[in-house]
Amino acid sequence: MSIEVKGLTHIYSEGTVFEHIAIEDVNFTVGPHDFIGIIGHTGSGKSTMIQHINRLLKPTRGTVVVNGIDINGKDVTMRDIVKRVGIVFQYPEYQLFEETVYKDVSYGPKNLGYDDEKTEFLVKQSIETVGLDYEKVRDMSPFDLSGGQKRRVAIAGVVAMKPQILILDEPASGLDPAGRREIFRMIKTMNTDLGICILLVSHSMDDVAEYCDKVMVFSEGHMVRFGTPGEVFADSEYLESISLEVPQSKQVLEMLKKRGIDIDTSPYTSGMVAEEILRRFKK
Amino acid sequence: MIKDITIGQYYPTDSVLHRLDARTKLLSTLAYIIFLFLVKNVWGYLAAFVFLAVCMILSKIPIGYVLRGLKAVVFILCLTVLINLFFTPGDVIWSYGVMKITEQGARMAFNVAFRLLLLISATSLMTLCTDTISLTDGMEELMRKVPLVRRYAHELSMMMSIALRFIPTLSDETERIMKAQKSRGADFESGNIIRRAKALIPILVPLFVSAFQRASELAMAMEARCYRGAEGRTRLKELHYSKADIVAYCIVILALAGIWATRYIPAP
Repeated sequence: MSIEVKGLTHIYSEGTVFEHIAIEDVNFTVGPHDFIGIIGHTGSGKSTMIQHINRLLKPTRGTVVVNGIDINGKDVTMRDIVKRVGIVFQYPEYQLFEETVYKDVSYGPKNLGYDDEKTEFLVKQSIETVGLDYEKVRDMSPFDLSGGQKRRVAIAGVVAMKPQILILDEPASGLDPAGRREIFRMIKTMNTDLGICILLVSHSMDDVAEYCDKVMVFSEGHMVRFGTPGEVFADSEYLESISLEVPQSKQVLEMLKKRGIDIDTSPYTSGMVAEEILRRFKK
Repeated sequence: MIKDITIGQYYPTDSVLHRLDARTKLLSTLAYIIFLFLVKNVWGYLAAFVFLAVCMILSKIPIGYVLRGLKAVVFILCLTVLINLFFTPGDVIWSYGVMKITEQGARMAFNVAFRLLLLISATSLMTLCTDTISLTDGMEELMRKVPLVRRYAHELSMMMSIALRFIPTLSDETERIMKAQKSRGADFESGNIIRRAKALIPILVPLFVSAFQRASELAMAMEARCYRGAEGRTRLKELHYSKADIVAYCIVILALAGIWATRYIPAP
């Protein structure tokens, strides 16, 4: 399942005094099993962009093609799209509404018109995918769960629809470090084991560097960079100029370099950085 | 649709209307509305319209912005006009099949339309040129003058200012939840009325949950800053009448007298 975005432009309230260009001329292609990180300063157009991929917003200009189908085509229904593209918004636990976890997670599959048997299978599978005990939580009220568990149930609600593309907007915000790590590992597993294409919006450069194969950088409505984390994080001065930064572990290398220590500053994950430091100082 | 409601919104300019005391504006608007219902004929509406138009020009607020507030009530307006037009008994002046328009109906529809339009424009103009804090302070001061209500004046005005403050927050929240449920295949547009009503549950439940949460957090934050109602509470900006307010009252009284006088002009 690939995504091709061409000339995507979105202008809010075009032709009025409130006109505001949210994104302009965005072009990219994403492969079927990619893990893409999307970074950018608040208001850079990331959220507007991702909402075009399942037609929550319609482009002012440009096209969005998912798996060869122009999703803004006349014959394409919303159901066709949400079957393939799932979006987990920021703080998704605020969308929980049912009496039991089972009922809430089954909301999506039921909307897709699946029968009870298939629904139950999907619910069970997705609850296990997000790392919860199905038998234990299925009849609990989602409002009685802890914050991290609520978040997982909400993500399961989207995963249960079996999307081949999953877009997550800051899935770990507000969680403690252990919770963050678990959420990211779970997403990584969905990518590697289930082959789901992931688009991850994040403000944490370290997380993006750690988990993503490729990184998109947004600034003032434009996609200004698209490449591997190595390429994108190579230019720390540029990132700073658009109010971003390189991962903290990489900053350590850059500081060492500034002090005149001969060290390679290209590693960007904490593991790679640790190795480089060891290599340099073991000599 | 919630975004179209301009009542309660403030549009800052440096006009004479903005500088008036909130109480002056509140009382004048109230009196204006009462007089709208005393109008008997087209001359009265004309007079009321002219007065409002002058106020709008004085407020320096773009006319389009004031009219935007009317968008939200277009439906109710059309509905009442149509009901009055077709279902008032009297002398038939036009008919087609079962539909008929009577002279009385036409008059009634015209009256209702103008009354509603002027009423809503006047109130939205008042809120557009009065910021929320002065508005609720003004309300509180006025309520203090009314027996029985006096005891609750502060609480009522505080509730009102909080409600106004939360309109945009809740409308953003609604949009967010709607988008999330749409991504889960929710369909709000098709099906009969019962299906559509049911489709709203996944929006209303999370909306209520978060509204209650917000309310409890707000209460906590207020108590943490030692809020305990009106008792011993002082104001940063005290309300006080200036010369401009006295002049404004005089003008309003004259204008209202003018509107009253139109009752004695024969209708065309």
